[in-house]
Amino acid sequence: MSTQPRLAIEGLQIRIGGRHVVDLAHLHVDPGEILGLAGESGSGKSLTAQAVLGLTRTIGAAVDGSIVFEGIELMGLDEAAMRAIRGRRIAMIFQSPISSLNPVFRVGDVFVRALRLHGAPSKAEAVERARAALREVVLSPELLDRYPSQLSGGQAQRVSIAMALALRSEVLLADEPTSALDVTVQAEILDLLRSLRDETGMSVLFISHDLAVIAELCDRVAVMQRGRIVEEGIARNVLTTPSEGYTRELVASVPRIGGAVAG
Amino acid sequence: MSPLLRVRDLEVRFGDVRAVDGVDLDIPDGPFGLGLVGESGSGKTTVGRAVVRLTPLAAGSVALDGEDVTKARGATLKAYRRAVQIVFQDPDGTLDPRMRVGAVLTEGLLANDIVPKSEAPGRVTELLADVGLDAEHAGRLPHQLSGGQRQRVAIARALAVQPRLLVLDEPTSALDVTVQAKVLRLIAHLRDDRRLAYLLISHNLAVVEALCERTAVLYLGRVVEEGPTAELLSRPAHPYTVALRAAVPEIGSWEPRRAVTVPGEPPDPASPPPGCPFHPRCPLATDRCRTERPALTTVEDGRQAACHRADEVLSGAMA
Amino acid sequence: MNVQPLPETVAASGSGLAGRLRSNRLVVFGLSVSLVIVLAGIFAPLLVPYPEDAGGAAHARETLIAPSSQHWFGTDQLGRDVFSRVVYGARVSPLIAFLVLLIACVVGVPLGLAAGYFGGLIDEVIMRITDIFLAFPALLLALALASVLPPTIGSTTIAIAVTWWPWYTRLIRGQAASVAGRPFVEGARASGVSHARILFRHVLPNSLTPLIVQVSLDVSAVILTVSALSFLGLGAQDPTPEWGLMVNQGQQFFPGQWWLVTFPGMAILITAVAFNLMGDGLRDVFDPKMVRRRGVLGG
Repeated sequence: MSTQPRLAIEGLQIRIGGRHVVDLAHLHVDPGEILGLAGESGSGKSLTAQAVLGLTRTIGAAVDGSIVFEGIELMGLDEAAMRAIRGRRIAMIFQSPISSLNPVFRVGDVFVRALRLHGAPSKAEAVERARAALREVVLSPELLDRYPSQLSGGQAQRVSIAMALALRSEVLLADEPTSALDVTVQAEILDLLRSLRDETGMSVLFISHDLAVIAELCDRVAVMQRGRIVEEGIARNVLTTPSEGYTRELVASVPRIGGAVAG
Repeated sequence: MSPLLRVRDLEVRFGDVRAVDGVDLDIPDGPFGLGLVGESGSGKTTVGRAVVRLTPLAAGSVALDGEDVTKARGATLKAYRRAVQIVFQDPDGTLDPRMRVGAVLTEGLLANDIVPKSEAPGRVTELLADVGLDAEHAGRLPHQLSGGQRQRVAIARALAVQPRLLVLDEPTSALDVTVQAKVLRLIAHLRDDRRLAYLLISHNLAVVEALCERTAVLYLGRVVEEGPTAELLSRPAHPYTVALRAAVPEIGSWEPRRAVTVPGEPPDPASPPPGCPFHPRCPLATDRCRTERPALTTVEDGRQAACHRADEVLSGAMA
Repeated sequence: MNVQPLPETVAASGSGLAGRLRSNRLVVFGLSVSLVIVLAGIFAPLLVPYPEDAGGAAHARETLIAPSSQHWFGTDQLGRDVFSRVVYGARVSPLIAFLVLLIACVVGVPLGLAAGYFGGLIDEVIMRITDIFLAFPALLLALALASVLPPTIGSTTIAIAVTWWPWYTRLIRGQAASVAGRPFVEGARASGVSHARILFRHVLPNSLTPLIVQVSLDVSAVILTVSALSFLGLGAQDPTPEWGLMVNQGQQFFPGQWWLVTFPGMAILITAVAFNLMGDGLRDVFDPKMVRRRGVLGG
């Protein structure tokens, strides 16, 4: 590899209640790369993302290994240092965008507070940046005055993405961000992620159970099963000519238009 | 000859909102699948619930074998509910968490006098086998089953009363993809084996294509296109169908995709736009579309669409 | 290295339930003390030195004797053994509490189930009636009723039960309404299962947990109410060995003959605390989040 990866995970081990749920030898995301992390429920893919943000402690998991972000070892980083990275340099978006926003605050309140916390010099400046970020994700800046419950799922997901954009996050962890959305809205969000990556050089770790979505969006893909990566490579190669049995089964299970009738 | 299920001018209101606004559906005797597709808020789930009379109808009629059951009560309603069973999306919620699988299946059998009590355990074993489960699963509680197994139990419960029609409401969308594939195969198998007819509600066009002869596309509570599934997907007649089809991600289309053909999201059903409800998102919208609502009309043999410019769409205006 | 997948749900088995019960010492304490109180009530005649003192006996020459080896808790103004009366008291207040809660459940639960499950007009009518009952402070309503009814234990029971059931109707209604909206109830309806069976086989069992907890917490509240009514002279009458009544009668001798007030008072306190601890523990045990922790692995 010529460039240094933006995020590199080595020997990540996660145990919960005596169970070994993640055993990840190596995973990295390059600058400006979209890496798909595919797998079914229980594969440990979400847990891996939570470990990157140091969120696994709260669920009582034992984590070992190394997670290096831009030369900083995140494992064992103290809480204050982690807070400066979490949500700012590494942002995360979730499957249910509306419930991941606090319902009692207006979108703008959350937005502005996050920007102020992470270095906007004044409130006016923060508001201006928030408005600019919303325009960038093709939303009306008026949405800043709304409450999360007044947004549609697609709008809320755009707001979350806009927040990462405004904070100039270098890595976006996206955990099934389109699984709860309609296909037309999903297509727009995928477009948005792709163009943001092109414009800002943001790295994206895109977690999904949907191989077709990963095929649309991702440069590379890693397939997880029972806590391990069973296959990894260029998305196009892995998904058209999978070499592992499990990947083959996953690919074959994706319903396709124009495919054979199940049976 | 009347179809097995005939739905006419179905209307469901939630307060002032017309969630379903004049839907017609016909389902012939099985084996046959009718797909009902649309985005969230299109009213597709509400149609399914209204068909099994779990949601009251504001207007319209539902008839089974030519017999109107819209106002059925008591024994007639019970007989209708036995004939038309529903399987819900969420296998977690559809089973009573405190009831063992065997008891769940027995309940339906006995409530409808399908078998005498003494024969119930044997029938439970048969039903479990039909959906690919073992006899020992009868003793399990729902949380001791996986999501796929729970959905199999839900299907077995529906089959227990020997229905003529199933309403399958997103039966696989809560399942993992490999599990989904297996449940879809099970549905295909049951359909041939038991000559089942079903209304398959889904947001997934590929699932509908695999299991349904015909498909109806719902937008804002109305059918905007209806026809044979393969033709409808390969050569859509409504711009919305084109958009839905284009938005489906696929493995194998490695060229960068064209810009999304429809921007935005469906309008609020509480205040639908005038004219064609799709015009605010439609790239082909004209002045006529903004004022005059297109009716669902025949555009080709066996195909219907509600679009003023359906002929142009059919001949590839959106391509 | 052995990597195991997490099961979809980490479910607690029966032994897990017992394990959680055992693991909470306060609950075990509450449970044991409650059990001791109930047993003491049942076997009172075998436990006390002067069973006849629990009734109308009087010993004019042994009045107001301080606690001693003969009379552990001393004697009262009529010369009766306070220990015997306190132990016999375990037959009165807990029994009234049991009856009150039973009546409240028998009346309140079906109404709550019907209101929550059927909704609409049935719900409106039932809930407005409960609101009327709830509009009066419970103790005040019980006082008013107790003052018009003849002062017997039966009256006390009825007076308190009348104020108690609406809470259970409310509690069960909320539960039933949420259970009724769950797909498995619709599934049962769609398979032609009758309303009665759905109500009692599906809705009731799935609504019961908070009720069980509430009832066990309420035992102490009812005992306190019974005692309060007796204390005010509106409940049990002498010679019934009711704790509240004993405190009432003893207070004129306080603090000189402190034992008349102290021992029945402690009985009330200990009983109330014991049942309360038990209720608290049951709440933890039945809390669905503790019973069935969902798998933590994301999808």
